[in-house]
Amino acid sequence: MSAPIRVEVDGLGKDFVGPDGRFTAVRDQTFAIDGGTRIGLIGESGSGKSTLARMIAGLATPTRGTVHVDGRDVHRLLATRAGRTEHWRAVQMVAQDTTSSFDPRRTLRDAVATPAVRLCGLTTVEANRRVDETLAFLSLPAALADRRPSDLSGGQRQRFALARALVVRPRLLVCDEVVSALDVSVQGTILNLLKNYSLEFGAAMLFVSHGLPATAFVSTSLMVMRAGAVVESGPVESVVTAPAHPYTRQLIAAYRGTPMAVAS
Amino acid sequence: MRQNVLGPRAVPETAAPSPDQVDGSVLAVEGLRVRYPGASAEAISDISTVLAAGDRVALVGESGSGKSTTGLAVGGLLPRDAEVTADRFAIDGRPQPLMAPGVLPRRRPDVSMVFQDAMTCLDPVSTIGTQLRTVLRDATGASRAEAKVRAAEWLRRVGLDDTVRVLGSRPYELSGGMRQRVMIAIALCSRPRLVIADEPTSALDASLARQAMGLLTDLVRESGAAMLMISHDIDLCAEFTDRVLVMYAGRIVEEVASERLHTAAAHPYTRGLLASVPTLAGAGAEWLSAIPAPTGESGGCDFRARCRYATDRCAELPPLEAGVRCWHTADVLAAPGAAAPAVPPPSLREISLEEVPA
Ligand SMILES: Nc1ncnc2c1ncn2[C@@H]1O[C@H](COP(=O)(O)OP(=O)(O)OP(=O)(O)O)[C@@H](O)[C@H]1O
Ligand SMILES: Nc1ncnc2c1ncn2[C@@H]1O[C@H](COP(=O)(O)OP(=O)(O)O)[C@@H](O)[C@H]1O
Ligand code: SF4
Ligand SMILES: [Mg+2]
Ligand SMILES: [Mg+2]
Repeated sequence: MSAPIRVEVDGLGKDFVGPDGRFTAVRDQTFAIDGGTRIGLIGESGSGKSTLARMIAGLATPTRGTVHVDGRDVHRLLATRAGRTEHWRAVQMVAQDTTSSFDPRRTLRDAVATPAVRLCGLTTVEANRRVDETLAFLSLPAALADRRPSDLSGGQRQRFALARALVVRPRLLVCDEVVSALDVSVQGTILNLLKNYSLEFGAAMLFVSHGLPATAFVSTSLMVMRAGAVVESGPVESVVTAPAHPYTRQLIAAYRGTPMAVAS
Repeated sequence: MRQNVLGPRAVPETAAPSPDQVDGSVLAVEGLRVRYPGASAEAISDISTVLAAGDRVALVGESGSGKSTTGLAVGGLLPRDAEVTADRFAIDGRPQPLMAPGVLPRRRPDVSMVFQDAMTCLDPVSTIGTQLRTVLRDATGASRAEAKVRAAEWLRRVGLDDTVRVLGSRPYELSGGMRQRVMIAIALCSRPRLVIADEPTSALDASLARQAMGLLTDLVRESGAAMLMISHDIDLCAEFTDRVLVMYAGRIVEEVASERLHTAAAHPYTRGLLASVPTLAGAGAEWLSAIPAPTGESGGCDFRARCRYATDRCAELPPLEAGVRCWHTADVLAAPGAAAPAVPPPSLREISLEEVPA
């Protein structure tokens, strides 16, 4: 098992320029993610979850503040080629919208194998074996890998996006709404797999989702975002049973209103 | 009358009042089938249902089961080369052409659709304000000034209070959830008779999804319109509808009253769906239950290869009887938990170890 990761988020903030001027999508946030913890980031639409997650993953540039992975400034690391390799080998993100995240001209095997070669330094033969292992883990028939991204269903493409991230065996996996677009019948399978990956590899996770029950199942702790700021955080158990912020209470009440599924 | 329409066809503009108009049905379909070009099987087979004014019906099922195809067929938006047939197809009691005449599919004027993928349905280059005002003016004949006021009102109704910023934004400048709410506003502001919502709230958090669903259902009730709600969120659907239709492999396999979903559902697939929904109560569970992955064709009952109750009898397609398409409902009701047990997932480490050659 590789060394557990330590991620420090310090005063991290982002502004966008909109039609009526500058507005703050993420207010300066400070927290840490340690190896093996799975943080569930929940919050209403537009609260800044994806923006925060993208900055932590190194996919968006912060307006203010820093992210350190194992003591090194991510956004400085990303300025060099060697630094990028080092960073993407440790941190992988699966984004909300997978339609645009694959090159339409390349096969999926190619897309999944590339990070294994470039980031992990595997030979083509080794990388292909790693791809097959990862596809088997995600219950993806290997034959699908020879297709192009447009020839798959949304759910299959979503699983290939997960495969492309897991193929490098990241120590931090950032997932942005990875199951929201999937069928209930596959959601459970994927959530089980993600949790198991983190348990087996001691990997940390940042799991962004608006689905509270799914997030609570996967995560060890929850962070609740509202209007660009984390308004509540703590172990899943305590946030769910004793929510402190009115928004969290409202969210949990919305789920309590749902008839519970039959226990099996 | 069997309509079999592949191209333009004439339909009497003023059909005589049918029994549907008398009993007030908004949508009546019988034996609706769709086959896409080159496909070996029908995408949907033998779909029948009647929606009265004010009815709210949910259509649930997994990806590829034919939910969207059903919605598109009813909305008149199937690709031109799809082959559509039905024994009966009427909106507001008037028989409808199965495909609108013309080169491009055109939406039926009385039917509004809300789609799951807001990014591709909104015009990427014009502002939300322009798009909303255009629909308001075209559909309701509102003046420029009225449309401006009502556009802001509609945004507030779907929970977008920052109206100035949203009206001036282009779709990519909004979050996924905000775009989805804009779509709902655009679809509802034209005051349709039937609203078909295809995964309208999948991008919203739970409390906003509930608000949006509450809004949809309130508007439906106000206007006497009917609603066909397509979603994979079976519990959310059930909460806001009167009836749930469960689809599997292009067929309706179960029809059940929404309030009795958890107690009365008797099809193994419906049971499996219900058990695999994560719940807050089950947040501490080690693993979630899951329906086994699909394994290709099996013949007979389409669910056979994944079904834990299957017997030899299931080699024959069961009929939809008393709302369920299954030979063994008694066994299911006796042991509903068997539909989707919680089993530990595979181990990536073990997969990797096994396959590394010596
Ligand atoms: N590229 C951009 N340009 C301008 N504004 C943006 C951009 N990306 C995001 N925003 C704005 O930043 C805010 C936060 O958006 P973000 O995508 O982080 O929300 P979210 O919490 O992930 O929402 P959802 O649950 O809907 O995905 C929103 O107000 C959004 O409109
Ligand atoms: N435009 C199309 N051309 C060919 N096949 C299609 C098209 N749209 C859907 N299908 C096929 O029809 C079946 C039903 O799909 P769909 O109605 O989209 O299901 P759902 O909405 O339940 O996920 C699937 O097998 C799908 O691959
Ligand atoms: S008919 Fe047989 S295979 Fe089909 S759902 Fe019922 S028990 Fe299962
Ligand atoms: Mg987001
Ligand atoms: Mg669909």
